[in-house]
Amino acid sequence: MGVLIRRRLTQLVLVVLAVTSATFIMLEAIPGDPCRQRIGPTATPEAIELCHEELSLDEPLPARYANWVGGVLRGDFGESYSNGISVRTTLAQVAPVTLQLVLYSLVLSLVIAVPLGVLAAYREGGKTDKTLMMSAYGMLSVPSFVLGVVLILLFSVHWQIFPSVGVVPLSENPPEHFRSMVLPVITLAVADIAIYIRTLRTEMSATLREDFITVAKSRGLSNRRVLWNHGLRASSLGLLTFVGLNVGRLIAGAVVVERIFGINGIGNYLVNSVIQRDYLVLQTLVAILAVAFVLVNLLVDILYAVVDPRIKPGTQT
Amino acid sequence: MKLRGGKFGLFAWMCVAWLVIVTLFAVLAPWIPFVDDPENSDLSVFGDGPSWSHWFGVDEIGRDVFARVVWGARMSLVIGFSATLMAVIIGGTLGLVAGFRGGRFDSFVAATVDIALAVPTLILLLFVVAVFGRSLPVIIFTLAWLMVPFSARVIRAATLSESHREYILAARVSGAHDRRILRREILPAVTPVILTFALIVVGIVILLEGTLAFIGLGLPPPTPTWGSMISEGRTALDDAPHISLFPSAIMFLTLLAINIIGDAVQPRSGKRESGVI
Amino acid sequence: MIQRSGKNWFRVAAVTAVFAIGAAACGGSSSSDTDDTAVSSGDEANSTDNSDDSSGDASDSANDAADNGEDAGQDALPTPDDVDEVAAELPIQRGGSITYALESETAAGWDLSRTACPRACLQVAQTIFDPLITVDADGEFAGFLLESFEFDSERSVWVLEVRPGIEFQNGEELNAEAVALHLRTLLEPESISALALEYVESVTAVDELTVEVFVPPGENGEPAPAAGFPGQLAGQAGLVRAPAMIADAEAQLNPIGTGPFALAEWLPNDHTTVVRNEAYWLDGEDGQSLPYLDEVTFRPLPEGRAEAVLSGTIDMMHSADISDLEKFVENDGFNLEASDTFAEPSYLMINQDSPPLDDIRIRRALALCLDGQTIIDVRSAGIPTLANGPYAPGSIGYLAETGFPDFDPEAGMALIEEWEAENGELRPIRYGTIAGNSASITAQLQSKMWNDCGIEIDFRQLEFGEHVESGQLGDFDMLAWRFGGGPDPSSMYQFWHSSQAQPVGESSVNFNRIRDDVIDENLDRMRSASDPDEFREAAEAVSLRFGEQVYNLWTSWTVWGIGYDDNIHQVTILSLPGGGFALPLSSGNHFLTEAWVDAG
Repeated sequence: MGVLIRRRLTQLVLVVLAVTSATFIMLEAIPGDPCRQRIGPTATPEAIELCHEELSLDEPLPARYANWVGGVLRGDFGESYSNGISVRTTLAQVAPVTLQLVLYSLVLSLVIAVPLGVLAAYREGGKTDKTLMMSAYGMLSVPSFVLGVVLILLFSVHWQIFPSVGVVPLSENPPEHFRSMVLPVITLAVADIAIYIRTLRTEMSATLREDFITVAKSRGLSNRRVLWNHGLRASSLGLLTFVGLNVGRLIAGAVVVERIFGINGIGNYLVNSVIQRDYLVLQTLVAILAVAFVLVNLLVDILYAVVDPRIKPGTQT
Repeated sequence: MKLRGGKFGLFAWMCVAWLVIVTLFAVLAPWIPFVDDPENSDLSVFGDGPSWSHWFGVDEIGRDVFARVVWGARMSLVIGFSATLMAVIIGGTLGLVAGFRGGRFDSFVAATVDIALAVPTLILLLFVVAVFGRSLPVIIFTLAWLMVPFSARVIRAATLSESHREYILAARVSGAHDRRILRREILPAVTPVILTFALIVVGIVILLEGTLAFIGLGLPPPTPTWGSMISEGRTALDDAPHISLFPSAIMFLTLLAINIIGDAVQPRSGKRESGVI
Repeated sequence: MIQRSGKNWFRVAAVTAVFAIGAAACGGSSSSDTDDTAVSSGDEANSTDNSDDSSGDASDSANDAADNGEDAGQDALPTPDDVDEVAAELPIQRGGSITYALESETAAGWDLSRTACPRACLQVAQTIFDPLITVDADGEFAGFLLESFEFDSERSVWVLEVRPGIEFQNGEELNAEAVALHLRTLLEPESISALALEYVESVTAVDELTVEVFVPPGENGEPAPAAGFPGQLAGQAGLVRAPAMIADAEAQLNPIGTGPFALAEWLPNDHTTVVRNEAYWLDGEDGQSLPYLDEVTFRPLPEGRAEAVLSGTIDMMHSADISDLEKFVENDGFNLEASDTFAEPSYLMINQDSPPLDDIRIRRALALCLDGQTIIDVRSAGIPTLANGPYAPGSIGYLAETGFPDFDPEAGMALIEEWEAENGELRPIRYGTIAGNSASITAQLQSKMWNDCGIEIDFRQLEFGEHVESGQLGDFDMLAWRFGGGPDPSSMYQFWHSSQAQPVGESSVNFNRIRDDVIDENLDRMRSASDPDEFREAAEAVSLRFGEQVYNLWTSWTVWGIGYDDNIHQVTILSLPGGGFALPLSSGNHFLTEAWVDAG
């Protein structure tokens, strides 16, 4: 385990360096000048130049990259070119809601998908299985932005049950917080529910055919016990692979959901930084996301080892 | 490739029929007499719902929705299949070799895939669009790129489990060339998995194209794709829902059909498939 | 002509009927300046109306009412006068807070001397800062923080008298020194008003409450170019910042003004909260100080603002998108106020430095091939008025006929053929439009019309920043824009004057790179005009020249509206200290100073 963690951490540094330099170079290629935007249509060449100096945009690329790296190591994650607000401050304000969105979505999708997936596998070939599979395919065939907009029209505008935009912070008003999260979380979770049901069902139905299941049953263990303890445990690896892979997709999906529901989370922060050509902010966000990604993979690997001690830590199948 | 006996029943055949119809319409679109010019605007009826002259109604600027859905099918299917093909070939090759060879090559591929996954999609997309513009090849390439890591992982997993079977191990030990084993034993065994997986990816890619259209990075208008039509019609959902709903319905049915076929075609296996399909 | 069927048809009829009732009800009141041209423009706007349309009768009678004294520009949405002020009989309630959805966030913050402040920004800024001068309901400049402003032509000095007894939100006093300091910083090179105020030589506080702004006369004894000064003070430049804010290195995060609300919290892209300024200098009807509201929270929402208000999530929103505004018409529980008085025009800028757009035949062809009225009918329910120049009906400089080409695709095609005979095939024209679904659909329709004429169009959608940048660097052929308006036609000086035109690739404030002697001359005339007639003539000359040369493709005069929960009252009322009321809705901006919420 220790070897795994050490290796992964080295990998982390390499990945982050590779990703951030690639991003730096890519951002250079995207046309756009944060100063012109900031000052607006009446910007004179003098004003623009003064702004460039102020933001160190007149320095060459490698120097700026080095400055950024130095800054990050010192704990200075940079400031927005637009308004000088530090990335740290903004991140602290926007991260919670996206994390909540992703977490609630993960929980919701697993809570719904696991029992249904097990059920479908248990009753493989039967009506329940077929109905569940059809519903799963159905859910997979609807794009999130359509779902989101339709949900808003129905539940917000027509029936006025849920707010159409914005999220109330948890600390401010817990019941309202959850009420305002319902529609966004559903929108984000739907596709995942379908994927998890399918994955689990396939995994389980294969597992249930394995010898050790027959052995367990012949030892007189109840169906339920066999199903949940033995079957599910063995199948959860496949599910875990997907969940791990999916976190990245969830963050991307959160961007769309945040846009539709007017939620100011990390996705929105990222999108706005791109629009405003806030290079420093983007760099830092990319680095943070890369770190998060590697850490999540590490977590999944550790979980693998926990769930199935036979597997050598570090080999995701 | 074995089909699950009995599973490929009437229902699955209906799905095949649907896909065939959609594909036929898409391919023959320019020549079908009752499919209008998708860019022709009849402003006298803009926003109207279905009628005898316009089966799916007309959009905000008077274009026939039915015609646009048919032409959109062309685009969506071309994008779906091309991007999937590219992703499966590239990702598949990486995955096959990584899963089979193992060791350092495997780690290298895993690391590269990780890095590719870690780059935020949005920035990558913007970069590609900024430098190369928004054209069909660019969209296909971008979508393929998004699917390569997924592809590589899945095919690697399948290859891994296949490679550890006794007869393969025996073959390798006895000195048979790797490439030969890959070609003759592994590939045929893994192909069903790849095919089923490819079907899923087509569905994902078609959906993703819609999301790209929503955030403004898809094919530039006025070329119709299902995704861009749905996205464009969303502001009119409350008083002209047909503009979004018909393409949504057709896309939904098509994706559903693909998924159902994918499931029906799934090889029956007595062993665990590493749970990705 | 254009018939709508089903719901759209009904909607138009309903909307026009509402106006007819509203107009008839307040046909007696006159809210804004009406000149003869307003009457003829009213007729003109409706001559394209479909006479088969059953709503035609309603709209004709509506326009008769319009001729009686309403601003005849936009004619089918409720105007600020139409809003039923039952509330006038209710006792005003103090307290409460409202949420307001804005079109965009002001990412750069609140130091308005340094950074751009579009409509959404101004709406917030007007709560924190007060203007030196504002525009009254008749379209005249009226002092707000200033008691008076007069040009002393002998000494070539604008004499500004500051109103006594006003404090900034931090306790600093608003006096001549403070105003002079504010104005002086606007002359610095980093200031966004540096060009607009380039004719100012010095600003001096001559006593406790008097500021003198010296505008030197022309070199050859020409009059001083000082006529545009009040217009500037009625805009972004006139929003006075406290001395402590000016000295603050992070001024953009800590705005301090004299306004009715003070900034409490700003989380970019999330919300901006302003709270009641307890020491505000204007009093309400009950003798206590304004404002009545305790708190306003602004939320930037590029999409879904109308839905947000209609679902009860947000209290109030503004929009220039007719499809948003339509949702509020005949909607119980909600009010709508819309206006295009002194509207900013929506138009396509044409780049003079991008051949072949420097050839007038191409420009005219582009205008001839675009059926602007149809676009308005199809995309905006026929509500905004087709524009023919930079100045809206009711504004100085407006002309019913400017020589701007009417829709005539055959003439357009003929011009293209003529050009192509000399020069070979016309290359695709690059068209940059704004972001958003609605703009994309409209651009597709426009492109179709041009395609029908044989002009190939290559259009892209741009975010605000990309727009600004393309414009500055001249990286465009046509660029969709929405700018200008207001009561002062000389305010566009630096955007149209050749002195500000730089070649493509260099930063140019004159995006179009217009280098036109007639326009230069008349812009200068406006700046130096000493009597209103000369001013008007110069403005009209500019209008005519634009029409003839087609430097811009005018599309419509932008209708802005605010849709809100009907338990909020007096959202467009501001009683002026010198008597009268401020202009209720100026390109979507309005004062929340006297707004109140009915909590019951």
